[in-house]
Amino acid sequence: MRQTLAIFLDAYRELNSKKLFWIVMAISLAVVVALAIPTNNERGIQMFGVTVELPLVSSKEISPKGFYAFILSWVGVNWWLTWGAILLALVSTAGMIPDMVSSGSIELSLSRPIGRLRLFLTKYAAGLLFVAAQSAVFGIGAWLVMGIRGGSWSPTPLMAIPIATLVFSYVFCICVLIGMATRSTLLALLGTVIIWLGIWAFTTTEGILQSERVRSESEVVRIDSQLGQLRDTLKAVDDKIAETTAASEARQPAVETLPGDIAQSAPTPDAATPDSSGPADARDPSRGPPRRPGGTNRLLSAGRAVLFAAQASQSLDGLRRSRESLSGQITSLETRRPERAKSAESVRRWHRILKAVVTLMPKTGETKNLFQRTVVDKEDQEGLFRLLANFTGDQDVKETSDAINRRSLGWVLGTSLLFEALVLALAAWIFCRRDF
Amino acid sequence: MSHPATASAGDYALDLTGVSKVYSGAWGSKKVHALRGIDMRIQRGGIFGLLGPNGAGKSTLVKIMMTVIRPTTCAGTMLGRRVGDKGALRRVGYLPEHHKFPEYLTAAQVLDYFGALADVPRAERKKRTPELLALVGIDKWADHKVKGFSKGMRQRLGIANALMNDPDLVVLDEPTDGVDPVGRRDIRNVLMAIRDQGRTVLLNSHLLSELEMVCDRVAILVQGKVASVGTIDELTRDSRRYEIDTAGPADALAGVANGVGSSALKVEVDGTLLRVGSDDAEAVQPLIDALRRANVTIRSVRPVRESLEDLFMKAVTDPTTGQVLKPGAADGKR
Repeated sequence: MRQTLAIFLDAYRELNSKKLFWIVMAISLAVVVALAIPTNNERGIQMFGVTVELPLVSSKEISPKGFYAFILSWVGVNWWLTWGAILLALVSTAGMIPDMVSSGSIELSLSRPIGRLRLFLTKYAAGLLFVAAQSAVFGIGAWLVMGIRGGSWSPTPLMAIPIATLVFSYVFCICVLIGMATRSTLLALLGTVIIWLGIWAFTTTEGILQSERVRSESEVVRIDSQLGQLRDTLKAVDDKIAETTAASEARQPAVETLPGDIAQSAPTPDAATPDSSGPADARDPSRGPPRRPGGTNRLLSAGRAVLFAAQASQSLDGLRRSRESLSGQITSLETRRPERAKSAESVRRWHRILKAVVTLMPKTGETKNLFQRTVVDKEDQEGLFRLLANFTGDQDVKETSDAINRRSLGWVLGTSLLFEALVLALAAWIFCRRDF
Repeated sequence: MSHPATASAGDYALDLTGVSKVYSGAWGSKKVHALRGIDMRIQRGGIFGLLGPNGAGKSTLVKIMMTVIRPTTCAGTMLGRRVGDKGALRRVGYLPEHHKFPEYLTAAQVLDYFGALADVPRAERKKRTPELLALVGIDKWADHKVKGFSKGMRQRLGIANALMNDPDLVVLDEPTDGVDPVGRRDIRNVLMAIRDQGRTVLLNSHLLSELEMVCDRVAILVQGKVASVGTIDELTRDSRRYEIDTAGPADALAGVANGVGSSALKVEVDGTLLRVGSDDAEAVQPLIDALRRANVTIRSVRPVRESLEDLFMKAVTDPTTGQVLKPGAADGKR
């Protein structure tokens, strides 16, 4: 224990001697203070007595607590703590291992009664001190902001400390391995940044493919649903034609209106345009304004318009024309469905491959998102998705986000920590086997 | 190496048998034998000097003892425990060659940090730090950062650091490297004080004159093997002689030499100088008498022995070719 404490104390002294450590600490503090300045009111964001009209983030849409939780997680954690602070921490700590194993220095440590593995792991843990200290400042600051400005004294903002340290540890282990293998600070830093960007590119692409997969699969489901509706409508028109023909043959006057069940199944003009994900009565009113018409939605709208026209005309010719139009739309959708299904299958296949690759990598993005998952409560999350749906017109934004968030904590942390353990094991093996 | 027959294993600070180290090339193609079966015993107490040309394996041997390098083969003990044992390392102080202390630490912090790594309790570290800094003469610099220290001050701090854990065995690799003459004398005094406290010092140095002044025993390593080992007296015994400097004439000297010289007492004439192949003062007296009888003026009579440098040069010279062996370890197979 004495030796472990000595290594940690030495790591602190080393950090204390570096200006960069204190600069980053000051920036962390400044970020928290800056994020505490704006507040949301009924009209938008208020800052220095001036209100910027932004109804989307007004207190009607998001609670003050949720507002701070969003900006702290998006700006504070996602951008500063897990990118900026980590990059600067890497610059500051990249030399730790090369310095330790340099000639003239390593002899002083290895000649002491401490095992190599223990020395290595303690030194590694001490290297995490940089980000742990930065995130402690940020986490405590965020907790105070949430309490004083947001009115919530939940300790969840303190999760920034373990989360940021964890994200840094995924990257730092790579730095340690390269530093151990090459004994070069420059190579350790450059190599780590390149690999980090590579991991980011892979995980981001996987996230995009995940979203695309959800969208394409949803579209196939929607086409199936629309086909079902159109076929029902076609059947109703066929029945009407048969009825009208029979009535005509019997020289009976035509029925004044469509049968009740057809009338009920036919969508109302209000519901016809927007609904893209299923029957109108199944639609969740909380999902906000309608999706912009396009693709299969246009076809369905046109089909319904034909039916309304048929209802209006009530003539046999009109019904036959309607039937023809409906058949055309069904054919069009039936032609489109295999194409969409194939596309969905292709996306699914590529996503599966990429996910397998990403499984082996540390999940820096998903780990940092744990802060948002912890700090932002469900109500505010729902509000957030409504905002995003309004802003982007993408109704699948919640589903795609849910698909990512459904990934278990065990998978996100387990696979990442396994990667870290393997990289560290390799670095430790080199350290324990090497002659200095 | 010679040692008292009554010595037991516990009497040795270091008792090594068959220490070898082979470095393989990148693909195992070329092998370098840095050490080729070192057998060495160092008794407790005293200063033991380790010398040899560059690449002889001195630092490799020391690093193996200190677990910095893993040996290919190694048997034996250090302070009664197997080499590499943490309990033994707890009682060994070490000053590596070209050591680098963290620049951000002060002298006192260096001793505190490495003392803690050596598992020295905090109270003891606090007590020993000023004492050791005073011993090496840098107590006024206790709170100054190492980055402002000269080479000599760093060496002094290194020696203090090697003594921080109150060791039974102190291993010093080039302790006077970069130190001025006054500093060297101070360090020699420190070494002798350490010896007087009953500790064992293993000194690895290129400065033969320094070693000669302080070492009780020396070992000369050449190409990964122990070429010779013993006290300086033991090693120079065969080279001891008397030299008689005269005013001549040379032909008179030759006559005296032939008259007194015998198979038991060899006398060589070199100009006006006579070399007598004996370190026995009694054996020289008849020669002096004969010179006086021949009216030869004697300027001086002095006992002479080989210096450590002479011994060293002899050890690193190939006896068959008379050429000095190339520096470096031995390549290829043993």
